[in-house]
Amino acid sequence: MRKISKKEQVVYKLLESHSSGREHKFACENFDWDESRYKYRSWYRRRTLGSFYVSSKDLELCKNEVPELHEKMTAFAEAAENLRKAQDKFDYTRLEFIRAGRALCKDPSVVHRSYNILTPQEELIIEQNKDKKDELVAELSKLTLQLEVLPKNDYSKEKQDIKSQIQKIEAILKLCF
Amino acid sequence: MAIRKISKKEEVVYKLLSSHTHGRDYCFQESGFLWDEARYRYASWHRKREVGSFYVSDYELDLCKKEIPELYGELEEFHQASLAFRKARQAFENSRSKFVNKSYTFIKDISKVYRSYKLLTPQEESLCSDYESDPVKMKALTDKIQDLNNQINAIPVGRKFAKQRNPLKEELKKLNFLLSIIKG
Repeated sequence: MRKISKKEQVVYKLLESHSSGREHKFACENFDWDESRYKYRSWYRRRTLGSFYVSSKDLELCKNEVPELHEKMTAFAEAAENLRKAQDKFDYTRLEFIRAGRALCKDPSVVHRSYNILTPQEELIIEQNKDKKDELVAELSKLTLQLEVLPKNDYSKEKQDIKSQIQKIEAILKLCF
Repeated sequence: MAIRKISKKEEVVYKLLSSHTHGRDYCFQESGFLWDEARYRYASWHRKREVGSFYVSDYELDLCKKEIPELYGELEEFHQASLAFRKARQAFENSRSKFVNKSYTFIKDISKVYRSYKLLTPQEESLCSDYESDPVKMKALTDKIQDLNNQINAIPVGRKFAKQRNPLKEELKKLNFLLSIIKG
């Protein structure tokens, strides 16, 4: 079972409702406005809903043929244009937020897996050892060599100490990296 | 059912309204786009993922501020964008409603728009505008029709009086046709 920090768990919570969720690794699907317009109605009321855009051809036609209506149609066209911009901005900022959130996850490719929260002690260990990967690996290999040198049927205290040190370093490495 | 006649202007209004309402078949009714409903429904059965929410809750903002201040900038910006988006949606729905309502004023009888139609000729259009702008003329026409009906009813039944009845019937037919053009 992987272990994550309290902070990462909060990130999960924040990203959940703005993406496709932890089960789908917080993949972000843009809302397809035009597609949604046709799809969200049931089969029994297959009416097409109003378009989100006003075409320039319609505006021109209105200006030429029904000038009394042109003002309202222009206002509508501007509102539609503003809506499009607001949609783009909304999609963009959501994407940025999700990217930043995912960057705070230790390994975004495994977020769908179940997890336990790190204890404060474990968090402290991580904080203390986060830049010591090379040292720990070197220490581990040194201790492993020492252990290999000792005879197999040696049950001395020295061997036990080395073994427990190796276990400790392995646990730290597993926890931190 | 007689084919109704409409003006060129009304036909253009039909064209303009059709892509922003339910269309002519449904008498150009409009209904607001239910954004949240759309969010849940539009994904297909094969990817039943919930598309992200359109709102950022205060709880989320508060939680982010306390626990992950480094993410707060992005969340706050997203929150502002979602608010602006909501305002733009409201403005869009509002202006569409105004446009549709104004368009209705160019339609003679909204309850009949789904029926097939023919365009009025320029002569018929000018005749219509003449009668519509002058209520006295219109009243005279309906009175005349009523009068002719009464006259026809007063003539005894039978072929003997056909010569007397036929010219009146002919005139009544013409006037009824004129009235049908004016009333649409």
